[in-house]
Amino acid sequence: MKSLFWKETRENLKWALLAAAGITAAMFYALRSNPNEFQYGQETWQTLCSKPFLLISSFGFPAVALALGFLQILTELRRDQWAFLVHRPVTRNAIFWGKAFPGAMLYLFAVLVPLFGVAWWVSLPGSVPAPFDWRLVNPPLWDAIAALAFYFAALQSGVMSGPWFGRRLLPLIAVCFGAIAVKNSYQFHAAVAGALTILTLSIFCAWAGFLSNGSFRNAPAWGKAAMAVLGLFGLSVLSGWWNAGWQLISPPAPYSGEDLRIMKDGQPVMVTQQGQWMKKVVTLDNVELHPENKSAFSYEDFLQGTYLSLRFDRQFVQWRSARTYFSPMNGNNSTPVLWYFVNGPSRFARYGLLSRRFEVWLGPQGMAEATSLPSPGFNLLRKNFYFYGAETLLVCKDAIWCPKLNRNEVLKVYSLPEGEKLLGAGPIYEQTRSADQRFDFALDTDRNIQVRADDGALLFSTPQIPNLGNYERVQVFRTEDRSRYFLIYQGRYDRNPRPPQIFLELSASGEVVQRREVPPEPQEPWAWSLKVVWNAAMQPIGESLWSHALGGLYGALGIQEWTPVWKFAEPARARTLQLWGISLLFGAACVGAGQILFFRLGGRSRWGWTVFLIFFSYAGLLALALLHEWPRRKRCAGCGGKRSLERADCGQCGAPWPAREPDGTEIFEAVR
Amino acid sequence: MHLSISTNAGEPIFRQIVGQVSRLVYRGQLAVGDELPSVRALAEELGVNPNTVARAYQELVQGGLLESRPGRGFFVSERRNVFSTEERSRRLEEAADRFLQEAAFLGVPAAGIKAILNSKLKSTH
Amino acid sequence: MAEPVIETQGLTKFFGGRCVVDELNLSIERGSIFGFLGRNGAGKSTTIRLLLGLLEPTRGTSRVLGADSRRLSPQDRARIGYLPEGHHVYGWMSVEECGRFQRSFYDNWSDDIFRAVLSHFRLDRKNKAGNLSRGQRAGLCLAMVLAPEPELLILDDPALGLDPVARRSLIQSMLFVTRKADRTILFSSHMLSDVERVADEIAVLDRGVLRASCGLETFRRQVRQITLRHGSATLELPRLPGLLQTFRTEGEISLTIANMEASDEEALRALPGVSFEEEPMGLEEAFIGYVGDRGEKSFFTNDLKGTR
Repeated sequence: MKSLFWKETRENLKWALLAAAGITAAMFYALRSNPNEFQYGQETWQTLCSKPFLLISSFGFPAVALALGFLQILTELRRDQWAFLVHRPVTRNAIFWGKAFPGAMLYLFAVLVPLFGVAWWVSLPGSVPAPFDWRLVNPPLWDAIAALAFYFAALQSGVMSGPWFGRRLLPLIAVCFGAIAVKNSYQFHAAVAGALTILTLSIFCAWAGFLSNGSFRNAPAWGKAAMAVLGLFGLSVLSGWWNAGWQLISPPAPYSGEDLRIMKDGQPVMVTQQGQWMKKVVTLDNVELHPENKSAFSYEDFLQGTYLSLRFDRQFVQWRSARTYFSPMNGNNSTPVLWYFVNGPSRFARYGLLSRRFEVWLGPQGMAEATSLPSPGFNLLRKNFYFYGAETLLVCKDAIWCPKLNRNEVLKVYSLPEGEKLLGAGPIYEQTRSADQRFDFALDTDRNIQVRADDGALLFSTPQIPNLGNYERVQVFRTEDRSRYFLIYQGRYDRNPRPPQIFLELSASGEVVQRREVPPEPQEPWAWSLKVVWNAAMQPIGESLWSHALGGLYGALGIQEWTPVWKFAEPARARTLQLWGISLLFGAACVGAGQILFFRLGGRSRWGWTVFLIFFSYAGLLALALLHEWPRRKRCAGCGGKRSLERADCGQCGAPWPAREPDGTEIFEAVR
Repeated sequence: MHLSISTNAGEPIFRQIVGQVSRLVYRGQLAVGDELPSVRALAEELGVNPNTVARAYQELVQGGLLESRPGRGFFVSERRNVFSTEERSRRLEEAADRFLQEAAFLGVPAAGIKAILNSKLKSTH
Repeated sequence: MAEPVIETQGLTKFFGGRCVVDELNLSIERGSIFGFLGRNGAGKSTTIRLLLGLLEPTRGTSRVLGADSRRLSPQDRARIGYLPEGHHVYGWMSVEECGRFQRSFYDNWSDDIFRAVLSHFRLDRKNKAGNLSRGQRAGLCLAMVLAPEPELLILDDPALGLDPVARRSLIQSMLFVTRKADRTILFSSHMLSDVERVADEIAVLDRGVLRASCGLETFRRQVRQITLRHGSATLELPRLPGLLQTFRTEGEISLTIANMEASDEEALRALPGVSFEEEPMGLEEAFIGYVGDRGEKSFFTNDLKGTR
């Protein structure tokens, strides 16, 4: 086996080096930061997680993997050179791993060496004017792992013979699933699950292909199962692309819903909106309003509010973004510096734009040099910290700060009294920005809602409504002349029935002038219908069970909350089981339909396929049709029925193949 | 000893070998007691199947031209009359038939035939 | 009687709807040098691949060295040397590296043989395999196949593209293998002169069908060419079941016949006004007559009047 490793490495090293060089060049190009304009659009401050960089890892890495795989297998495939390699006193396992192991290592070399090399360069002070965390390597690293599946898919595609769509093209499509999962999953564990599942399947499929010399039928049972499941993933990707393409051609109707809003003059209204169009505007007394001088209302006709959250949910962390670790502070900087809020140390950091070096920390105690960090950072209320532009508030557990980064300082504008719990804060929206950048903000605790100026001065305070626990958040509005304030409380989505929205109008000193309740939209009760049954049938039971089990895995690992189906509350439990029952029945029906094909299959594989079809119904049928090869048949001379070419005797009448007529010129000599 | 084999001659290879070795002995280029190459060596030199060479040697031994000494190889033997008188006459008649047929084809008169025979006999005996 | 080295029963291969190997029953004895003959596209290479388990048969079985072709273990493969047609090598390896690469797979490797064959073909160890000429590549592949001293040597059209000197070297290498009595060689070739030199037995494959499998001499004996001179007399030929080809010229008919019975020969000799002559045929002529197009070819001098 060692000589196989040597041969493969020697043969393909040049390609790996070429790929590494190309990847490195592309990465440096993606990281270019023009000191005159540090690009916030492409977010190059995210360095390894910036859009261009992730494009390289999402698309470039799979391309490298495919290229290396095909180069390794296609050059061997001129038939007799393949035989030259296969007819050796080594096991097929050794032949496969003799190729795949060096190939996979070369691929990892070609992508990981540039990745870590570039990451190390970025980590050096003076290369990029942004903070750096080694965990930024995570997203491109998982792109690389998911892309490894493309390498194995190329091997499989090269080695399989037979109908090209199911055997050669479908695996290549299927591995896109892993790459797509990593690219688009918001949650890290979903990305990992997707990437590892597809990678494992692709390895088994390529391995089985080598073992069976490219034939599906002679592959070991685990190989057939892997290829069938990979085929399903491929079909799933295809259907996703089909839907996406369909949506490009004929986009679905835009979302339509009702919102409680406030007109510029303070009138609360219910707006029915479809897409961007405000279809219907109705006052709370059901009087329809129509705009003057135009055909429909637009955003400028309404007041913009500030959201204050009332709940502490599990924080949502976008793992493919550097914002998990630090965020830039957009601001009108006249000085060539860039400010970031770094989550770990929980402080602001200043970087020189031209020098590209880290300059100082800015914490609650003021500025500090890079080396000294012992003084505590900001004790943020919520982990994710997004910035709203020039006016920004830092909401900590016990205080609210207002950063004035131009002046290199952070002002404390509110301290929480004992016994209260701070829930949130946000600047009051103003149409035009005042020249001195001053702004007012609203904050809410579990007791009251306050509006203050940005130096901390209190404008007014009003108590929170009772039953705060039923509410999701509150919006704070103010008219342009600052004379009136409005509050809209929105009920929690997961309460059933949803609590009514509460509208309050307040005077400039905080007294309640008006209170309205807006009942929630009535929800249609769940009912059986043809559509429900159809949807249930179209969801194969295998998929439902797999998702459920995966959720259980996440629950066991503590990542997510999960209840097993038998613990669901009624009527949800009965309903779920009934829907699953429908899927199961549909799967069984597909087995029935598949009997036509089954006649041609051998004994043992019938059971495997039966189970497969029950679990994956129509998708399984499609996979079976695409993957399997059916023995050719000819008319039997004896009974007239069709007989398989592969059997010595006819299936129907048992007659052997007709013997050839000797023509008198045969010369045969018995063996001595 | 130099033999040349041609393929596609119509004549089987082993018979070509028999003929050529016979000719060498007849012309005196191989003397009595000379050792012939082993089956394998001759096969490799000529580029033919050893079985073919073995068969040729077998015929030569049966014809009395060669003798096989086990463990030592093949040697040109003293002329031994392996054939019976009838067999000898039969073979000689066959050879004479072939010779005369060729002469007839060439249109050589009887006198020419005799002349050729005489000169050949003179040169070898 | 020992088990045959290669044995097939009803071996059949279809590519799509096309039958490439049709119910092949072949048996090759140990120690034999077996020539595998057939026209281009007759199915020889496919049969060899089926024997080596590189292709799956549509039906039928084949056994090599006592093991099923489809399940040859690494130990079995170590005893079988296979030289595919085309003499493929990894172009980037040097001759030396090719030898080292090949050697790593076999426990039983004779460096002497490897070197001997290399020097026979005048190969420089430092040369890159990709820079070798056709004949030299053949020599390199041959060296790699012979050095492990396989019990069974399978050569698929080894003389393709070789010059006469290289072909002779090839023959000599093949004969060298048979120094040990239990070594078997199966080779396919279009160079019938070489086959005539070297083969003990031959098989003829014609459009996937095995039409002959016998000793070389037997084949030559059974395929005969008879010329009947009949002058201007009309000629009525008896029915000859093994008639392969007929060639008529003015006053003459030339017949190529397989398996002519003694009775048929007597009948032909007894034809009135007809002289019977037999032309001895080499293997190539016999083969061409055997697998060539059947039927009658004629060359009438009347046709030439206009072209004189």
